[in-house]
Amino acid sequence: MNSKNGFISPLVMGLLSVLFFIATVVAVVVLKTSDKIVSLDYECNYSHNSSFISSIAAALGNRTAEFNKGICLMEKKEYGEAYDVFVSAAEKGLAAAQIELGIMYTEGWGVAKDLEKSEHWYRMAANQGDGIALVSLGFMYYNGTVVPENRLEAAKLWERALKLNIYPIPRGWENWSADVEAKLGTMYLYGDGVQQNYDEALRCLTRAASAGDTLAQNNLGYMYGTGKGVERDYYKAVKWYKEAAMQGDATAQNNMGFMYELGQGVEQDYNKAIEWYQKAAAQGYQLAQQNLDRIYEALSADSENESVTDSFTLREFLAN
Amino acid sequence: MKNIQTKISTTRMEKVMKIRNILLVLLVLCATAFANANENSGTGVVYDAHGNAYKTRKIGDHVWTLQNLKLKTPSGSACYKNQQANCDKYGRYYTWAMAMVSCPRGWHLPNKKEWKNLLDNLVIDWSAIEPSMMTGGRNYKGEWNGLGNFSYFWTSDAGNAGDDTKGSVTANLNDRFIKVDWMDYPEKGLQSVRCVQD
Repeated sequence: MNSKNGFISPLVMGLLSVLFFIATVVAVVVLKTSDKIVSLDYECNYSHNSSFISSIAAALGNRTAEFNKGICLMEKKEYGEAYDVFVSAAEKGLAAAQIELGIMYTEGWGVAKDLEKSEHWYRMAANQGDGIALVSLGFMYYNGTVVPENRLEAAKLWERALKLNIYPIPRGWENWSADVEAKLGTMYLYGDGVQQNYDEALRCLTRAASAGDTLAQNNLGYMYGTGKGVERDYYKAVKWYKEAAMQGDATAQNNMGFMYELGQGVEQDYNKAIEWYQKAAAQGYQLAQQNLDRIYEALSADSENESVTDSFTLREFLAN
Repeated sequence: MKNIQTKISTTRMEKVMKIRNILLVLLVLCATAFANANENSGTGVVYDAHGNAYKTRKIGDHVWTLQNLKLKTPSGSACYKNQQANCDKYGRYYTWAMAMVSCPRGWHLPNKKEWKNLLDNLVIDWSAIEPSMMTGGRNYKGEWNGLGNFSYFWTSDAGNAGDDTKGSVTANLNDRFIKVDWMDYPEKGLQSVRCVQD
């Protein structure tokens, strides 16, 4: 009996040791590799309950934990150290870290500004279908920075991004979808790099304009003012021009001046036309200054018995 | 008796002719008065050699035709895509050389300075301009394009000797600009024509 007990105890102890060893290995592997064990932590809240696990995971090289650590370091403006952990996480394929590197190279945070490297990291993340990377890479194609300007490619990337639910939204990106849709809508309106498509233009511009984007409001006003893709409606044109003008958009202020000068969608009022032209001109909008010069000249001619209503428009000249 | 009758009818014929001449002179005087009245108000009408009418108006310092020239010429002009219906709609398109000699008598192809004066005195209202007002043209390769997006007009200015550039005005609805520039347009390039009173 004693010899039996003497045999079982070491066996149990041995089994327990093996189980403990296996559990430890599994824990290490999980902590090292799982993205879910440590959730992405944009708030840098290391005081919460998972801080112990997070710190062990980071020490073991868990890419998500590394990313969280990087974010904390970024908040402390310790860019050099943040860069190191982001590189480690990015090389393990974490799209969020790849994007952070893209931003750091764009802004020159902790590294020398290098748009080519920025493009590399954005592309790596975009290849994984990351929304932020798709948008950022789209802007590179749209502006022709680093890569040759290619509006069609920009449109494709942005359309993919718009189908995604980007969350969490990085700081400063609150209006990204309106910004992108305004640009897309404008491209469709003028056939800029894409096939001209008034329906698509109207769809994108209406969404972006309703979200407060001034470019979209201006171009939507233009669509209604000219009847491109919609039934001509001067009142709607004025509504959208005014929305943008009230936000300080110089082009829209100039357009409001036109509407008052020509009495389209509003009662003709030269004083209001002058007010809007002046606002636009004060921002350095050259066409508004030309319009002011012309309207002043016309008004002074008016005082010499030549009516300002005699002013002739390009539309009348081209009407044939 | 026969001779007397012949003499009487000859005298009647002379009277009829005199009355007709007086009426003609009156008609010309009326027309002149009407033209002067129009000139004073800044608007009017001018006819080309084939009787096509063009509204005119004083804009800035000059009197302009308000429609693209439609005068059919034996060569050096065409309708958009060679379809007569387009000529009725958009006017004809001319080579620079033909544009130089096609304006009605007393009118001429405007030079760059005259175009600039026009543009300085127009309200540039892009928001009101419709694609149908942009009449396009034929490029140096002989391709028709730009209808709905661009308009091109000749100016009388020629470039430096040895090169083939001629003055041209481009209105671009897409980018919303109208500018006076040089165009390298050999004989195949056809553009619209507006005329200015001498």
